[in-house]
Amino acid sequence: MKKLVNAQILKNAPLTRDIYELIFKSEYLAETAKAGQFAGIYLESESKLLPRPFGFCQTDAKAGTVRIVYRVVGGGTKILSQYPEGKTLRVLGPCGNGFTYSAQKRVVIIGGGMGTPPLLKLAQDIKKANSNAEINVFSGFQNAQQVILKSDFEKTGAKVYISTDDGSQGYMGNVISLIKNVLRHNPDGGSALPQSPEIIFACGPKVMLKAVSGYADETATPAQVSMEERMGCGVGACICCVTKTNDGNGEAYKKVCAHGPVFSSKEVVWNG
Amino acid sequence: MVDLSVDIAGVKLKNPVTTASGTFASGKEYADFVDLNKLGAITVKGVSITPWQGNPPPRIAETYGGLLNSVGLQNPGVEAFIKEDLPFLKQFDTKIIVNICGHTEEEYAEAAQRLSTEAVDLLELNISCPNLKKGGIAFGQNPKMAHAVVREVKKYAKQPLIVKLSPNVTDITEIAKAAEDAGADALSLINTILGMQIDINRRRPVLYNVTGGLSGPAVKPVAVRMVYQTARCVKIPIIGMGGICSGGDAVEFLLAGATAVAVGSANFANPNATTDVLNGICEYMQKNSIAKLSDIKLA
Repeated sequence: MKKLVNAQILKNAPLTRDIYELIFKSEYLAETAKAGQFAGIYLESESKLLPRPFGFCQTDAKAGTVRIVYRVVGGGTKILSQYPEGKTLRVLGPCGNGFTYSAQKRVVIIGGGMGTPPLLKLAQDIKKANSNAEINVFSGFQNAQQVILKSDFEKTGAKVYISTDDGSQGYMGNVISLIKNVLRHNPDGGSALPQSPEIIFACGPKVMLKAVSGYADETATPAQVSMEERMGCGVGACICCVTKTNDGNGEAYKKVCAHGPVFSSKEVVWNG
Repeated sequence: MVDLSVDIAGVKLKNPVTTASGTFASGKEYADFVDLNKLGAITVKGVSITPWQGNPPPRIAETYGGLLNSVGLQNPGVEAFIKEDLPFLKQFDTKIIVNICGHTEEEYAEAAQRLSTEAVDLLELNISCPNLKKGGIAFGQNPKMAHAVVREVKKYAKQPLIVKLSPNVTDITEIAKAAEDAGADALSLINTILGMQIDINRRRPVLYNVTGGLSGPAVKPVAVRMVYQTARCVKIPIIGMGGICSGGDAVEFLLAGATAVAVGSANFANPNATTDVLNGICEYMQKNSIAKLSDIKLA
């Protein structure tokens, strides 16, 4: 059940030049949030009314803390970045549906830029649910300055592969060519490779998710993708953050905040 | 104890607070936050005789003190509403107002007819949506068309009919009078104000639909003015809306001549907004020793 909670900021500091780490106290959210779900943070601003959606990056149920990693991209995140420790935030959550993990052993996680943070919680939760899971994380960024959470992923026991657009760290190119390279994907499109994953989870820009979906189709691997769209209420009321889907009953706009943000890659109409 | 009850076309609301159509879905989405039994009425998202897909995204843009939307009345159709949403709403001790939309007079009339046998307390005729290529606002910008659609729908509606007016007109009183003359039982205003936002980096409109409807605190002075003007030229009750976030905002509309008020975009900024507005009205009445809501009048 979604709640509106008052959460005290424990930490709000830059990880890189414009990417911030926010840790706040909320026992309720720390206990209930699932990977892939998100929190809506309200700004104390007369001019900016809408909640800002952020995927849960990490939760600690014992300590009752929630970690969010965000990038300062506009006026709202700028205001958020200036909030001091000790300040109380109004936070809505947990919102959305989250990823569904069902004990698969070979897991591939694909992140793009600021789509990466929610995947950390996913990797941690998968390891908790199944310590035998083999997780390969493929994470793409613009450049080395934007690379985040690499060591956090490694701490879960996952293997982490980085790509950057300019080659300043890791593989030069996009994350899909990285994954094909690493998994030595069969160019004939076969899916019987020994390393082929049983499930793919992805979060990132739509163009990346579309490529992930194509890769999943080529390798006949099920994929769950976390979509992003300009959002209003965060609870499914305003019907603004829609994405075109087809679940077999024809095309329809589904709400990213309520039906998603996680969808099966097969359900999303990528050219819609 | 203050008396908050109001009468809208013979339907008694326990208090004057309802929701603006399209901002509260069919109530379910806010039931985690708001005790729906406490609301005077719930006005649901617009329904049409057939399912509507709505406009492509992006459908929303935040603006200074408000937001633009271009949803385009996406809804699963009146049958799905009756089957899936109405049973949920009926569990609560609140009045149900169903907003109906259409592309043509016939579509509006069919939706009204389909709802005539259902447990719905009031209908709200949406002739003011700015996000449709056909219908919607077109009916609300022309007194003759407004008159005709209201008269047509009145033939089929069994519940009292509220007509929701658009602010995107030169003289809202003309449309208000036309609706009253055609048999409207109440009016609600304002719907959103047509607006636009451009992304200067991409050099493109933010909304896929280019233009959208502006709502939120930014539009409140326009809404108060229009309620004030309209209340002075019609006899039927008015549900006032447009940027109401607090009890004080609601009282401003009541003073302008509204009988009831609707909370809209404020729900997005604060899921408890409806309750906060209601509590704020009570506090205002107590502080000013006003026993009856209808005694909130301009000095």
